[in-house]
Amino acid sequence: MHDEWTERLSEYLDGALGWDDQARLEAHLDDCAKCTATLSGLRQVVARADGLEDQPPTRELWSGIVERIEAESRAGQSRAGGDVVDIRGRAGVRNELRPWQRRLSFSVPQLAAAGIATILMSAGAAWIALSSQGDGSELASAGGPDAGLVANQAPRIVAPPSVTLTGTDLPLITKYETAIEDLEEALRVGEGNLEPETVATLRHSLAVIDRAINEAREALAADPGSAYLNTHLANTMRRKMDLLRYANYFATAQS
Amino acid sequence: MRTSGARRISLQSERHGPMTSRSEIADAAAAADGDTRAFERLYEAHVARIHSLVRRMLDADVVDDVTQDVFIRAWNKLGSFRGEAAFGTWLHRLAVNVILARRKQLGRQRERYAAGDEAVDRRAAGRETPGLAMDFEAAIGRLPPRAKEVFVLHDVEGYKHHEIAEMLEISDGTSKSQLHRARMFLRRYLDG
Repeated sequence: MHDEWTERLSEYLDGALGWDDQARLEAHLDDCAKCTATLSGLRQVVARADGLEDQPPTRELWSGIVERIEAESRAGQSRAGGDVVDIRGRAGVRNELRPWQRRLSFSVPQLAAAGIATILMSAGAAWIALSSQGDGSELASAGGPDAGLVANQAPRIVAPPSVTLTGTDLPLITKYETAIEDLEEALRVGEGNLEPETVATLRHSLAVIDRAINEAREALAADPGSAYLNTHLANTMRRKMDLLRYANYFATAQS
Repeated sequence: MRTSGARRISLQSERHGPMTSRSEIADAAAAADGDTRAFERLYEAHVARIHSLVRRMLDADVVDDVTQDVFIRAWNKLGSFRGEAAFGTWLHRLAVNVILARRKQLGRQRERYAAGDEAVDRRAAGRETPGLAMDFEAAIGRLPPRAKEVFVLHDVEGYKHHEIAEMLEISDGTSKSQLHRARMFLRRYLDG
């Protein structure tokens, strides 16, 4: 009988016994000094556990976490065939590393994604500015995805589809270069039909895209065989073409 | 009679952190987008708690490493944090999973303590400083693995038996009996 109750003292302490068992155990405790003492000891244990305080690590761990995240990122990019660019000094690390010593890695795809976001935001501003030139009906009459590289053809309003290249694809990039030259020449002729504010926004957006194109070319020069960089360059040029086509469409519509 | 239900509730809120603040939700969202400064703020806020949890459940030689594992896992899984629970609760549960996974890797520890009840009794009987209550944290460290896991999760971290049973893949009854074993073991040290 005694062992039975000893084994159930924790349940009693936690309020997990049914009413009947609880009443019987309390009756037992009235007569059993040993179980009463055990219960008192268990209460102390629970109280000590409740009062434990959390202690920070004695060793600085954050820099190790950052390094391991970097390493995993690097390994992941390596598996994915991407390149990694190390950037120092973005954020601070306590104790062992000074803010300017902190290393943080971004893969080329991550940086390119940020660049694309900038391009899209900039191009988006230009599209909004251009849209304000018309009544909006042009958006509904946009051409199909295979619209040719004609200066005054209605542009596609949806985001341009990405191209995927498996390696260096100079013919496609050369084709885009030629088309861009034609579109730029057409815009030079027709931009007088656009509002000055629209032209300014458009030029700013084109400058952003040109910077991205130049950066992609420089990266490609260092790694000519990179399928990713070839694709990135082609897609960026494609975005420039779309914006130029859009601008030329409105310039022609305003004439 | 003292019922620990209320204690557990307060323990949950205190130890797992209060409801996630807006700034913590914002930091979690920013960190999920790759902002390491935001993640560092979350680290600063929770590292003591996570490190203490790991220290109580695993051997000292792996504590720092596993603590880092927890935050790296958190970094990789931040996208799954929706802000529905407190960030501390989410992180704590993730930490428990990391700890238990590491425990499985360190199977040799289990073998060392596999003798069960006899091991508890031997260690309790073999205390070296009778008359002096040894450091309570150190006493927890001397518990057999399963009893230690249940004790830390229940009495220190405030989990309920059914939650512990699910985490450890044991029955509620086993969780209760392991808790009692652990408490009895520690009581002897406190009495010492």
